Amino acid sequence: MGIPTSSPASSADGSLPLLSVQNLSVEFRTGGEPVQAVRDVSFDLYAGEILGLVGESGSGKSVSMNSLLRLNPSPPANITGGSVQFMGTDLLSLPERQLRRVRGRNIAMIFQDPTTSFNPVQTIGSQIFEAMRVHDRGISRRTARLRAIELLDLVGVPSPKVRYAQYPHEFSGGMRQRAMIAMALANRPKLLIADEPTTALDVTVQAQILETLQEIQRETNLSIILITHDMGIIAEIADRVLVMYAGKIVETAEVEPIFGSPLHPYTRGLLSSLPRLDASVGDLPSIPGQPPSLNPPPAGCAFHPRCELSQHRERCRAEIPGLVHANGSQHDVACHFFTELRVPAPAASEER
Amino acid sequence: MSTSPLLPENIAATDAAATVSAAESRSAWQESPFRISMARFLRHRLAVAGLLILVALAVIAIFAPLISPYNPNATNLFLYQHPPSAAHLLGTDQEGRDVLSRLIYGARVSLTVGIAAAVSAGIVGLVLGLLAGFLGGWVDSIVMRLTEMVLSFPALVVIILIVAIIGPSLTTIIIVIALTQWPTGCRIVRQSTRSLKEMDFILTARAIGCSDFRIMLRHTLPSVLPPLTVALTVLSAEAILLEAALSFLGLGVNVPESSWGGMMQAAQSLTTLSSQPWLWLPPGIAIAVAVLAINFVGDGLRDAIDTRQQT
Repeated sequence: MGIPTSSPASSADGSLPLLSVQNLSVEFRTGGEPVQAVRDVSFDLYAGEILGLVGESGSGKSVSMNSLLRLNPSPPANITGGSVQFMGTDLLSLPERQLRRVRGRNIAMIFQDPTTSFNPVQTIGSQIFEAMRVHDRGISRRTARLRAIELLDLVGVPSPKVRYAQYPHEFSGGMRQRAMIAMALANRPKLLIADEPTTALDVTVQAQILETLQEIQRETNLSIILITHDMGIIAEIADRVLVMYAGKIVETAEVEPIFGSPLHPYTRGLLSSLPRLDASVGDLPSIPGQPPSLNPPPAGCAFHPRCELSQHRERCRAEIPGLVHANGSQHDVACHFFTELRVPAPAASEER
Repeated sequence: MSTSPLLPENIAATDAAATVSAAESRSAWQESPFRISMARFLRHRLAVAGLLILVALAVIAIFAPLISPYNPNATNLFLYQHPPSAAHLLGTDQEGRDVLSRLIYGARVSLTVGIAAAVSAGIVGLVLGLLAGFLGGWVDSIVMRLTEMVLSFPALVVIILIVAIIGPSLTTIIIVIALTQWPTGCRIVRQSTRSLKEMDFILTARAIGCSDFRIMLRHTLPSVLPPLTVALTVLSAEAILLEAALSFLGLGVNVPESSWGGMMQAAQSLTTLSSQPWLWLPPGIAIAVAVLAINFVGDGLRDAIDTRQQT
């Protein structure tokens, strides 16, 4: 990674994690067999860290992150187990009323599509005002307006005073996502969960938004969980990566080892299917097969039907691999045969 | 990224607070959804005509004592069933009362019933529809079964039955019409609420910490009101017709108070129907015009808020 990231705080310095998720499991009940959308997900997040969460559509990225704040509509979603410790409080057992005080204040979220994430019939300003007002009844419209304009300015919205009074349809997509970020930052949260914040935007705007997020992270020591399916984005701004497949974490490491020596065949597949500028143009490799149905998930390792490494080995079909330390304590992988992958140097050097 | 095309660049560029706030208010005025719908409504000629008629009717109803040439309830047995003349422009009825004056006062009853019944039905429908749509589950089931029950009875029969039991009065009519007509609005509100609930901005609102109640009030209600308003205009036309029907049957407002439907009672006699048209034609036309005007307004509102036509 060529980017000088801000201090990637780690467990090494002995500090407590800001967020600690243990064995989180979520299932959907829609009649018939419940669908296991998130299975046994555990991870820690430290202050000031940018954690990338990658995986293909349906791998449980959004569901698991929405579950942290219990934002999945229930029914059908059901958190069947685990704990979410945030600054010493278990969010999963918190009563709804108290959890509302965490939402938007300590943990803020931004969503994929800025076009639909704003209420079309209210001005941007009044929606940012509302975000503040919900957590601070006493805040005056005047104070809130000044702060909102300050925030819009901070996230790079030009002429924020004018923009404050405008409606979402008067904003371009990129500007809307900036306004969304401004709204998320309104209460100075400790953690920002960004669910594919740039997927609906074009590539140049995407780069600007990521830059904005990174700047804000540096200035405010915010922690960010960035959900994406784009390894390129991970390479650009994340400190650490979680790779999810079929509702489970299959690999976690800091960014460099993920790109330098990925250990899970799925991660390797993801990386080799990235278009590269420094290699000859041929057919882009893809991971064979389809993302698995989660009802029921494939027995054993969920990736085995598509795995190059598995090659119909019995163990892959019979036994669910646990997450084990591979390269020291920082690099964990859930694969029975990952040692075989170490040998051939991976195709990805580090950045695309 | 570009500034709004509505703003001259020099305004966007300058920092003078006054100019900016002027630009803000202007931008909000020009681009607000309300303003956009308003402009679209005003382009709808029939709707504007309907609105003007309704305003005129309302003015007539409010200033009835000033406008009407005679006391609507003063009987004059020497002027019994006189055809229209210079003194009595629309003639006199069976009891020698001035038809024009009764017509003018009758507007009060019709408009009161139309507005009050529609608004009460709207409020009941709005509250139940919001709860059913937003909460879903058993609340939804109960409310929906309730609407089905109400809708499965012929409204007029139920109304006549209730009025016959309680005794006719303006209040009774309004309440009874509201009680039988709320399901229409309720279903519309429930339907819009259910689709709104799935919108991303509702999730955003939950993620910033809004309570369900706040989301209902701030994010669902404003979007549900326009379709409800359209339904309510139609409903108020129906309420006026129902009141006319009830009064025609002698179950309307108490005599001697005049109402359009009550005046039409005269048409129950064949001789009146054939030889004294001034007794039933004016109230008949008044009812038709009022209902038509309301329906035009309803059409205009529907077109104005229909998002499928929005550019």
